Amino acid sequence: MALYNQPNFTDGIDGVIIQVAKEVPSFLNGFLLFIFGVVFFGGSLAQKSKTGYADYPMWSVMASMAIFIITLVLTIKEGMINLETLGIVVSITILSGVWFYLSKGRGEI
Amino acid sequence: MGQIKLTTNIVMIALFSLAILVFAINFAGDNNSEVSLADDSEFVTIKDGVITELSSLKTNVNTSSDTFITTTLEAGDQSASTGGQFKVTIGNLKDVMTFATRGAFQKIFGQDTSFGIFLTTLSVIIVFMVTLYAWKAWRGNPD
Repeated sequence: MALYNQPNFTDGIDGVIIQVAKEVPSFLNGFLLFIFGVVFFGGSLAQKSKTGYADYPMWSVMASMAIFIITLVLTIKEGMINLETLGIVVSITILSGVWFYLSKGRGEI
Repeated sequence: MGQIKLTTNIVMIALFSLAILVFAINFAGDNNSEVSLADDSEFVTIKDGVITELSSLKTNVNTSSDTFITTTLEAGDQSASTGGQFKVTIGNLKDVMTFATRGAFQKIFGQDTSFGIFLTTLSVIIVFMVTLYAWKAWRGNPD
């Protein structure tokens, strides 16, 4: 017996993604974490290599906004994102904003 | 961090939180999304609470500002000793910030009382900063 139902291309490639997301609930959560990591670590490390200083709160906000927008778009289709995941993404975005506005590194040396 | 900068930052935190919540709720409404933040009563409560606190802040600042502006000082008079116009902004804002972040902390850490120390510590730090800046305003060195 198969561990899960394999997707088929009847509905197109977008249909494959939706079927995978429904079969593996943590798939999109991992995808969002990947996007957050790429923006946060990639941006901060690139800034540090160019300027010698990495504004971590700013990159946290940018990464949070990226996954926030992606999550909102994914909520349109049923079965992609659940309310708990959306709540956590919104919470991370708000807390990143708090960290950003309370940091002293905004445009300052 | 100076008093003006701290006040501005906390106002920006409140507005940022409000913008995120309102955008998410309106996006779901406009696109008939299957999952909507409006279904989460906690975030709706946070949104309404932040709006109420900011409206209260506007009212109190206007009232204190009018009182301050219409006050006249003659030679030899003592200036206002209550510092009301400096207290009202910081005093309102600590509630806004803890209100906005409380829901976010509870979503991530859950309702477990073991993690309640995060919220408690955050509230203590904010109250400490508010009290310190209010005292410094009275002393005449608001930094």
